[in-house]
Amino acid sequence: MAIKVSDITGPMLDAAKPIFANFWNDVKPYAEKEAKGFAQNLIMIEKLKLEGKITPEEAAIHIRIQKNSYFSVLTAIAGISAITAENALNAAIGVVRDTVNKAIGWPLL
Amino acid sequence: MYFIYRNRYVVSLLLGLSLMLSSCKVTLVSAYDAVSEQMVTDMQQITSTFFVKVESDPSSSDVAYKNCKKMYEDLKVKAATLRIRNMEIDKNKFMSTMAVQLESNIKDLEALHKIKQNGLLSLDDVTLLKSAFENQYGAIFKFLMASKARDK
Repeated sequence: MAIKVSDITGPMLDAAKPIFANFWNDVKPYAEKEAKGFAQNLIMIEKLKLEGKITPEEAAIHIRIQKNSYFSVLTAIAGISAITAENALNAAIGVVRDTVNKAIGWPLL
Repeated sequence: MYFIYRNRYVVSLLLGLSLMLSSCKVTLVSAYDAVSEQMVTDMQQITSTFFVKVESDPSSSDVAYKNCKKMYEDLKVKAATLRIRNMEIDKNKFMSTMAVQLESNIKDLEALHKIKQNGLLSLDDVTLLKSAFENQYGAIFKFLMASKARDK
């Protein structure tokens, strides 16, 4: 039975969504695009293997390369989310600093 | 006398607290590293040039494995250097993870090329490889751009 793109992307995105929780809306378009590309490539590998155009060993290497590439995408998304969180925390500290300094009347923070 | 000492203590405490809090900045991810970006750019150019060559003439002896060993050596040295450098930077797990993944894919690219019967990658191989590597390099660049923008 042939695999469909949605058979792969649906569960992949469902698994990723809770991990990126608060940042999901920001990263969703990128995650969706990359998941779709990953699924299409897996389907192409399956097709080439079925048609005898690549050996099982070659197919295994291709799958490993695609997986690794997709992991890099997820790692980058996680990293960008961490930078976003860092920016938000520092912005919050900045606001508190301004409020406290104003209340005290001299730059405490 | 006690009053003077107590006041000195309070002033020192306030100064210390002020100094500590004024430098209070949350850092979850290491600073942007221009050297890493240059290394990834170099690797991306080598890989892309190779894929373009295969696409232009897949049966050319120039793109046969035996004539690409120098390119793989160069890529593997760059990948190892990128990994080692990034492993040594504090709070850098995202970039060091991506460097490990990239090094692994460079090795697998060579392994695939090496086992090809005639030492030549097919156009189908290149379609898959190009997509994987472009996405992988793209992800690394996206992350580096985000840390660069944060550090401005």
